[in-house]
Amino acid sequence: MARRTGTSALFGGRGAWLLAALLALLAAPCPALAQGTVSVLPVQGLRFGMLSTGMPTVISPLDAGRRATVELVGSGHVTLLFELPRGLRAGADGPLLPLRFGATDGRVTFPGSGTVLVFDPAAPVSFTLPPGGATIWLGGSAEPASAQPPGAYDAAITVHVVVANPAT
Amino acid sequence: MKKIALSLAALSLFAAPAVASAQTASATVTASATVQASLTASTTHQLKFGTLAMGSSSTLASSGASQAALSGLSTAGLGQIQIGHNSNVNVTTTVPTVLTNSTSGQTLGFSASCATASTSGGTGTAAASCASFSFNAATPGTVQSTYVLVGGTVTGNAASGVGIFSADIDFTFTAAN
Repeated sequence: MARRTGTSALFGGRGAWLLAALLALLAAPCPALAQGTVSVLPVQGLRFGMLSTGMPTVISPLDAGRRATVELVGSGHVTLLFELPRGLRAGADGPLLPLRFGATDGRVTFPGSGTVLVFDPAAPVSFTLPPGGATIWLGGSAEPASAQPPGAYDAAITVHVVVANPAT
Repeated sequence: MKKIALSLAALSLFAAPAVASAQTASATVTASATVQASLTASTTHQLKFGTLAMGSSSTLASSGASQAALSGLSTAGLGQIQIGHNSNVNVTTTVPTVLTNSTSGQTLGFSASCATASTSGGTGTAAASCASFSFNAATPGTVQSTYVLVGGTVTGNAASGVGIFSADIDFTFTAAN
């Protein structure tokens, strides 16, 4: 019976296959990294519409026509962080129209399962993004002062998504 | 043995704790609102030239030191519109060129002058043209009153005869944000 040497174990028969597989693992793009890629797509802004001075207006995250909506596409374990403005401004240096975001103003919905995650947009929220992706809804309150100057106000809301990959 | 060792090494690549890594992505949406302006207008005095001798003209200045008094029930005087507003206001006006006697159909020539004042009957600041002018809110967001004073000139014409001559002056006020 022939005795395999170390060399033959590495370069012949099943050993050769194993080595090739190891090299492939090191050289090829990591599959886990590819799966952890997430795209963030802004769909709709938070639309308070016409406000009267001194009259606060609340937009529920369930208000399809006025809530902010962002789509997440991809998969992986993600953490969302929102940059929430203190208020809306009329022009760069214009007056401030205060905004407030409550502890239940954030929603993550998972279309595949119908599950809904309620979260406080002021704090980070983490979850595993399923293959079908997720949709983020954001509500909030605008609180114009009684002497709020009339005009058009706006501000940016930025959502950062950190994707943690299980392996590289 | 080497084969087994190599296989274990390969398996350990799959079983070892993952090296943590993270990717980030961001998106921005806009939050928006429009605060509507408060705007009201009411006529407090009509523009009245009073009784004129047939064929004679009359002018009521809407601004400055020569400003005439506001019209009373039967006295001649300026017209006045009180505007409540919390933003700047644009004004457009349709000014008739004649006053018409509704009985005879005869007319007298007419032109208007406009001014704004911060108090009722106060000294007015002349508008360059009645047809289109604007005034500002001293404190945007706070409801305040501005008074539009309306004067003008009626041109006498003896051929137009006697009677009551009148016309409407239409003002449109628009909040400018």
